[in-house]
Amino acid sequence: MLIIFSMIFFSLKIKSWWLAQNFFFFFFFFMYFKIPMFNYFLNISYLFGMDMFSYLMFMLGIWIISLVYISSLNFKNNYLNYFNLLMFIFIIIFYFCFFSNNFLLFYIFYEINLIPVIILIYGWGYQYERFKAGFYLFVYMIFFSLPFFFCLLSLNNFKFMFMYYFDYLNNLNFYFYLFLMMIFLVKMPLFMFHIWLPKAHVEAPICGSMILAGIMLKLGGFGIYHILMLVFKVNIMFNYLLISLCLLGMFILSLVCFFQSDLKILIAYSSVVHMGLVIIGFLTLNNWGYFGSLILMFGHGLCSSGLFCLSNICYLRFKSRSMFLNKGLINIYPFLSFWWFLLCSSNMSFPPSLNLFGELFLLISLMIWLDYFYIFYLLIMILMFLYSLYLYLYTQYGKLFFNMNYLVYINLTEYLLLFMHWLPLNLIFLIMELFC
Amino acid sequence: MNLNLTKIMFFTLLMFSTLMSISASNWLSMWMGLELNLFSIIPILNFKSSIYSIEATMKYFLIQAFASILLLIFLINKNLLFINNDNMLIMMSLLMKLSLMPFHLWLPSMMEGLNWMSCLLMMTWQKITPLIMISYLNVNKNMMFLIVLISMNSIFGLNQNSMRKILAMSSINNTTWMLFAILMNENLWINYFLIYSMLNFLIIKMLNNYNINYINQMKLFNLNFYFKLNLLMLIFSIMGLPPMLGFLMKWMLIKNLMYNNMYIIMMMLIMLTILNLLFYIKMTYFMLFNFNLFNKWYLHIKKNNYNFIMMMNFFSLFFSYLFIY
Repeated sequence: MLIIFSMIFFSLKIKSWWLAQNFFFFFFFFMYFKIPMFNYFLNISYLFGMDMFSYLMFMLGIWIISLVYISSLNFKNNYLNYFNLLMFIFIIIFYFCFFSNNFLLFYIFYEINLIPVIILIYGWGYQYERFKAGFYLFVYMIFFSLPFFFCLLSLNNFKFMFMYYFDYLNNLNFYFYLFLMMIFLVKMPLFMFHIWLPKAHVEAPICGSMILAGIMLKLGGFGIYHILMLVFKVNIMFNYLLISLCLLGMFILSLVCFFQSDLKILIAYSSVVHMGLVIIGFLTLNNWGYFGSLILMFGHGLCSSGLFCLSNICYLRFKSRSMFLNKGLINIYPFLSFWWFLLCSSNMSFPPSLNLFGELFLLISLMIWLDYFYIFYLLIMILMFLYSLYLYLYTQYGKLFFNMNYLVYINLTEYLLLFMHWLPLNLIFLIMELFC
Repeated sequence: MNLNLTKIMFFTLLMFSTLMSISASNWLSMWMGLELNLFSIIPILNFKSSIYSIEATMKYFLIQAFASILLLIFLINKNLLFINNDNMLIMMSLLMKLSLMPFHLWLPSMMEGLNWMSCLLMMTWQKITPLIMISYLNVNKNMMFLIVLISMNSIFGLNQNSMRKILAMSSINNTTWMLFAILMNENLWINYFLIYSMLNFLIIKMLNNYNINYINQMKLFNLNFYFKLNLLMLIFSIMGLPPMLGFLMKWMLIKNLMYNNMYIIMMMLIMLTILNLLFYIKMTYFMLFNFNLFNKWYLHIKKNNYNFIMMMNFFSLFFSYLFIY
């Protein structure tokens, strides 16, 4: 805690990019030694504590934020102090959010999370349309926030505020269930409530998209996992609705991916599809689903954040994210094409990546839940494979865009950035006992 | 000595008239306090007199006088002592004084003509007496449902450009919350009112210092970001977003409404607040843009002492959290 609070003052004092980044990596390794080697709980106190889930999500958060510093080097001269402060605030919020035991505390930090994201999108975004994007984000989040709050208060009992209290509520009606779930489902996002996500991604700078895809969506998953313990009884009655909605949405959105021309929108929709998988995993209410969702969330955080970095690297060279301009890249950037392949293959859940394990686990959980739904799911898996392939092929192959008059090489730092995304994504399968 | 004796006199009169009416033991002296209040605030609104402020004062005088006469008639018809108080008529004349729902449209157009500090008086101090008087009434809480229903009018704030009108709309919304607070618990109302007035004071102080009258003047800020962050946090706070102090008052009220099983009213209040939120975010977004092509005015401020306020705004909720559990 002392470290956390000294970070605030530290961030105000230093005016150095590299020092801040080093601090984040240091903090990552500091947290690495606190790993809970047994599955369940660690450091439980009155308001704070952690289990493996929250620990992993927090580690993902620090990792992504330290990579944000590498990715957005061109912000180095723009409001550096402000940016540093914002990143430290992010870390503090994630710390409190993932490690809180109490629903009320969790809710408060979950909502604070919105403000730095809005500041990031508005402050460092590129177009004027970022006003609309931020507005969408804000309204979608806030609309379900206060109803959740009063549903939570109406539980009216301290023991239900405790997140690790493994008991469920018997007398809940459907509306309470809906409001308790909806705040997290919007953040995930659920199909039909996902409109804010592509908009926010398009308008956000690279650091904003990385944080949005890397951690913000995971906060929703974290919340659902904890709230499901309470509404377990009601969920058994109604989860078929949400699961079918998710499956339908995943099917439609993976088709939508095929006619996107903006790289970032494509990646954003693909992350909506992946998050739909995560929702299904939690709602099936079995062990396979839980572990699968956890693995997929971890994998997706690294993978889609890496893809956003790739799209940003191309954006900085071509000044466009359009797929009609970003094509034939293998002719000029063959090494970058290698990284495109590795990250796209991870996105299509190619073998050593975490996404594969997550999707297999979720497939099994869906097979346990209902006999025939998994056929639909397999179809979606094929579509997910195909749009990742589409992304890779259309950017790398074909005719080069010849109006590009100059050529800027890829920096070593950018390769390092992609490597840092790819390495944990593809090597963590060696320590799968971390998740299960 | 640079004492403005008329100012001192009228402010003292303003304070004592309010104190007189809130500590009175019968309705007639309460009414007298209200009248004194009216006659003392009219010079205050006109200290920096302009044609707009005179018009605003005229509006205010007409409406308050009308409401006072109605109040007096209803009081005389009823008993002057606290006996048979369950009537909506007294309530309605007080709602007119408060600029609450069915009779609220005079407030934004009136505030348009005033300077900022008078606006602050209108939004905070002038609400005390009628709210206290309402607390003595025996109101059927189910009738309040109608008031919330009609208060959908705060959607009119969405297309306003003037900061004064926006703040007036938000004041109408917050007064609705305060009405429910005082119907349940006076201590709750005091907390709500104090927090609300403090936030209002801070925002209006800033707007007054930098002479911001319209929304598009917000983009003229090229100040240091602590200042921006500070104003932003204040606006988020009065929105009632969770980390801030403004959330605390909403929290207290929601919890109390819950104990009284007023779920539907609570839902409607929450939805209204979301409407209000839309025009607050419209206020803030100009400030948040770091990169823009607007012309900027460079206002040099030697030193700002607002950091303390920001800390207070932030951390108060956490301390209060410790007290609650």
